[in-house]
Amino acid sequence: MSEETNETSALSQDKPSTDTSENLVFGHKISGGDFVGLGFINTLLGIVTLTLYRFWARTNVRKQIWRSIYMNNEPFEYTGTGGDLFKGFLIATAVITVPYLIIIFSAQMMPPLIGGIIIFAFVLFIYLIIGAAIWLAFRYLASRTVWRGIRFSLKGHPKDFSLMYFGQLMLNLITIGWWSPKMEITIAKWLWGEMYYGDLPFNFDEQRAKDAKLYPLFALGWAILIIGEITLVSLFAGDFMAFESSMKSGNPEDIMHGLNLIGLIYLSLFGFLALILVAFMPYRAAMMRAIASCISLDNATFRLEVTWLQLLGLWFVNTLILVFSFGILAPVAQARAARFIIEHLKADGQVDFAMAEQGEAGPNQAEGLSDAFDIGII
Amino acid sequence: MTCQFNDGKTARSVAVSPDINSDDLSFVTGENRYIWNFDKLLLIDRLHRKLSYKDDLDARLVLDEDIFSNLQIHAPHLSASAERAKSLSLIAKLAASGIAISAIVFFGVPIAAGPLARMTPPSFELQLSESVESQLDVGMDFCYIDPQSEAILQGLANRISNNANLNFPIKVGVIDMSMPNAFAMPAGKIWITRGLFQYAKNGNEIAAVLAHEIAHVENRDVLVSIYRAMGFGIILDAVVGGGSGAGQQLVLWGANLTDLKNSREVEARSDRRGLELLEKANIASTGMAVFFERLEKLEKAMGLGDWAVFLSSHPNSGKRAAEAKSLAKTGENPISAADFERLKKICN
Repeated sequence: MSEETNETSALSQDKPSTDTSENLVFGHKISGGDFVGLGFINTLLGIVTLTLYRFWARTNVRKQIWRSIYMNNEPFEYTGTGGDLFKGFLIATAVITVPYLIIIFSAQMMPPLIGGIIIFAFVLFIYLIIGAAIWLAFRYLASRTVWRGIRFSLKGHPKDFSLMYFGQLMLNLITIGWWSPKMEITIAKWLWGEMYYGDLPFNFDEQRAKDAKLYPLFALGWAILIIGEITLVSLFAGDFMAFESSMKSGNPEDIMHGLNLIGLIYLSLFGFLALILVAFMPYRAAMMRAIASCISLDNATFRLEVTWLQLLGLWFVNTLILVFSFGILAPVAQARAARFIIEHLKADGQVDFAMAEQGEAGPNQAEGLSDAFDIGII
Repeated sequence: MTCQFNDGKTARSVAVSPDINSDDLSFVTGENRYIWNFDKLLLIDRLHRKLSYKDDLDARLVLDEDIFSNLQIHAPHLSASAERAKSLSLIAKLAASGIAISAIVFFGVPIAAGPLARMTPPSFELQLSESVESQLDVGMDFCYIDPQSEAILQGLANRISNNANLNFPIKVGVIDMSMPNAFAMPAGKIWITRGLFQYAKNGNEIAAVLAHEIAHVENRDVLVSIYRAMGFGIILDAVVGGGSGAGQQLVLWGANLTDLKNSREVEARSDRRGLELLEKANIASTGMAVFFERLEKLEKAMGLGDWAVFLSSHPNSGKRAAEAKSLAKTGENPISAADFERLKKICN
């Protein structure tokens, strides 16, 4: 079979290869417009079915994205089902959502100290299992991704990943965020370093991230964040005092003035968030490049040739799409993000796919836990 | 007529030439011959005409257009119309589940919340009250009430509540806030803001507000609204997932508007019951209509038109005034002018 795709990979022959080894050529047939109809249909059916259709909607979006991405002219395949996601969601509801609501309500009935301790313990538990949610979502996606009839898989155990993730979160907390670059690389190592294509393992060499200048770029974002926060707090303090005095007077005009001030505070917050996003964009692009450069499969290494301006452009347009369509065109934004990655993904070296054999079957249930926490990978 | 086969065991692609027989599709790869019954064929990807087989789920067969078209005649379950029918059946089932859940959320929960609240032991409501009070303490400034003002206020509350069917004694407190407002808490506690005393023109108006809040306590409306919100919360969170999708947000909006509508009905009922309690206590109930008329003017001055009622937990003040006027009865002035003046300065 031969399909005409938008091929983007530069090939190189700098590593030895066997007769059956192949260069990796990535391509896609993703057009954002193809996903417009899907967005409207998904929303409409979501309303008709009291949103129960969303599991099948998400699956349809994934199927369409996966089958539009090609490696060596052969499409990927997403084998997940809406039923898988629905089952996972039901499990997460029983294990997390309902106990959460019951605990929160019961804590209201208790003396404040005991109620506070219970809620704190539960929040701690939630933080402990966020890692498991991420890992399970990743494992599910891997196990449902097939190429040439061979599926991907993620080895390991959610408990180990959860403990590692919690530890990294704590280190990040203690270092006021300065552990973040190290944390992201560590998490990527746990995910990509345990990934398999059939029985062919991916490798993750974190040493390659050292050239990525992650810390200087992180420091740039962090400095702008701190300056922005100080400016915002000094602005807030004045606005809050003005708001309080206008509300205390009881005069309708003053109350309206106070409400306008609240609007101004929200506007400032929005501007601040946009500034932070731009400030961290060079770091984000560097992190994406670093993670890609650490990953290898057989004799092939990967590169993601992304600049921060390109990434900012993607984010900006996707945000406009999401905001102005009230989220209806989310599939378009997801497709654009996938296309962006594929168009910038390059590989050097070769992989002997003919040697890859089928791996173990994936899990029966899906990423319900991540759904409970609204952790969306795609 | 070259097609491609992946056996699902290795990543090797093999070119094959499938034959369509009477009951099956067959093809050969090297020394292996595959016979796939039509009934067990699975369509993986229509765009790429990719099939799998029920007994060999990892295997993939990619057909060319001619074979795929021909195959759909023998295996109609692979056709686009069969796929559409399957999708429609799923949507119908999900829609039916959605309707059933909607009925529970929008009708069942509000209906069940009242009886459930009335069945709840008062001791439970008392415990809830303590917890809520401790939380209020964080965000609100409570006023010190001098003994004389407390006696006036509490005396008025006792007189009105004498004819109410209460599980708890009424206890009135004052919050240091300029906005005129009053609200009932669980287990008989009623909070009135400093602004309301200043906004009121006479003792009848304060009595009317108190009577309305006592009606809430009598009906255990706070507990009802907690149960209603919990029911909405648990079911909607469980079903909708609290997500950020457009459909999810629309459903949550619908639930919020339904909750507000229920709340407006409860408020209107408390107005009517408040007027009854005033009448039974031989207190003039004319103050309620006058109070709401002035409140309507205040709302209009703040730019809140009639449309805003759909987003409000309380009915339109003009309508409330009209209904209160139609039901108002004459009676005594419950507090003297001097006592009223004292209450106006309650937080100063």
